Amino acid sequence: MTEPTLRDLFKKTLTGEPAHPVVADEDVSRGRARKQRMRRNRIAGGVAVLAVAGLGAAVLPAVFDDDRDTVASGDGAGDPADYPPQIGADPVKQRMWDAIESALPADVEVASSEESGNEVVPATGPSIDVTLARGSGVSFDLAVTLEPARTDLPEYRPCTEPGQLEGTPGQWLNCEEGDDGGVYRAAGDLNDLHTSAVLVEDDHASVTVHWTVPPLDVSGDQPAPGTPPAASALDHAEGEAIGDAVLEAGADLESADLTSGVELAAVADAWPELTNAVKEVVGAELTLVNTEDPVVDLQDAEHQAGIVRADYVSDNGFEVEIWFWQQPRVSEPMCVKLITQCSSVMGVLEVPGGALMVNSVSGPGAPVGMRGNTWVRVASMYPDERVEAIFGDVLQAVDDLLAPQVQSPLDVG
Amino acid sequence: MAIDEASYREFVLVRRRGLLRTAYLLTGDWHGAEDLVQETLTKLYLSWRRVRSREDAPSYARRIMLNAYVDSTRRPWRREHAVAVLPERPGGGDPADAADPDTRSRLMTALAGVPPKQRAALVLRFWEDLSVEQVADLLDCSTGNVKSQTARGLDRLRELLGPAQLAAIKEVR
Repeated sequence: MTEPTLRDLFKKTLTGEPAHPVVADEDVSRGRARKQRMRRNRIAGGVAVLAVAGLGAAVLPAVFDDDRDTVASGDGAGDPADYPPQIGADPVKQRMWDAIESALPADVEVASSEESGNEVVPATGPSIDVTLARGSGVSFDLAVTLEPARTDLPEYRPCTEPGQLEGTPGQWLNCEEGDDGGVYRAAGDLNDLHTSAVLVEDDHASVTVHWTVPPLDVSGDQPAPGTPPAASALDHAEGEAIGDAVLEAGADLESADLTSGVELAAVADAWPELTNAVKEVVGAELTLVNTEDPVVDLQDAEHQAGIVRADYVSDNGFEVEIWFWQQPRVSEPMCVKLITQCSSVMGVLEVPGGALMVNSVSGPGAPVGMRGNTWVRVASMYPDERVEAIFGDVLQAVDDLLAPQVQSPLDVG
Repeated sequence: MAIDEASYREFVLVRRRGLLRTAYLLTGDWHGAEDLVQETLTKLYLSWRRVRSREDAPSYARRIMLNAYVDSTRRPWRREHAVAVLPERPGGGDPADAADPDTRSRLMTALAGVPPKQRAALVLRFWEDLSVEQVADLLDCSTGNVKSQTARGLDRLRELLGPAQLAAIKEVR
């Protein structure tokens, strides 16, 4: 007797398959019903917006646009001129923006980037950061990210499992979560209630939305902890509507199109360039403190999560420590215990436990893509007024090195 | 623009049975398989306009199904999941039991002991006859990961079924 192949065994298990005829109409009916349910939900959300804004005529066409093809269709990108400068010609960002715009309350609009005086360049990857204005001109920053759902990781449940962020400004407060029809949603407030965040995910993709309300500075008084955010920003339901819209817009995108980040090996390859830049900034030769230059701790090769770091002392008495880490997914915090830094949905924050160091300046740099963060410490043996300037220049050098390394999609071969 | 229901119907008529079989090998029971297929086809209906060519549709449906299956295993409160040992079903149970109950029961019990991603890799490789690259694309992981998941899945099956049953299976592609 020959040994059976697995296919043979599979086949044998299927010989008793129920002999129901295929009735395609039933699947069509289920599809129609799901579509109608989604439409009802959207209309309900739209009616709520109308009640608040009193601007029915302005938003009715969007609410009743059943085809929901407010997202760009086809492979090509739309005209960048039709989008805020943060979006540019990236077709994924354009889809995201179309979805965001369709879900924004009627009295919210994009604040002119000219007011800030900064040139706005689209960031690499499926994320959007934009300053919005609501009503009588109160502005707030909105950030939205889209990434593949990570079914290989435990679920992140910010409301019930804050983990290492418990007790820090990164912990989600006033948090509500739920699972409805295959979509998990969480909404809460962070950062002494000056940031609100929403996480929406299904089995395909995960969306984070967070928005801030700058503290009022008219009187110079800071709102006391526990004071709710100003009512002129978004509420949780409005944030969830944005999350839902972006999730829907990303439903037919390939997971690969939603990936972004840097390849840790590429960072290590480019590190000598950074070392040279730091030498110039410090004005002296550097001696490596670690055994490798840099140390690469690749924790997840497939998604390039991990840490790259190096620690130097200079011939003229400075110590320079540089850390880069890339978290496994946007929504979930990642803490680097040695430097007591955690990346959260709203950026990097320091968690308790760090030692107070004299003659030392440290802090995070600009985000590197959607999942990467940096942290630099510059110290001197004796008080030295150059520490602050060196710190700023090293941060700039790190940013200059890493920013171009961000890929979207992230292709690690 | 309306959904082209005629082409969707045609797809369902041609492909539904195949999807159900794959779903059964993934979930281990016909009821769970039917649920998985219904969810897959409902999501496919919603996305039908965006399926760029009809040739892409099977792969699109497979991807939806895989995601739904893996998701159901990671979020057990959402859906039923395969049990480790098939329960006894006295009289009027699953008709498959009548065909080759011993083989079926042993294999399905063994498959229930294989972790979801390994099981998906085995079903896609050896039932759907997909290449390592195609499976990697569907499972959204590297080809090396597919190979290791497949090898570990086979090891686990051999362990559960006994070496004689599956000694001939090798990872050759």
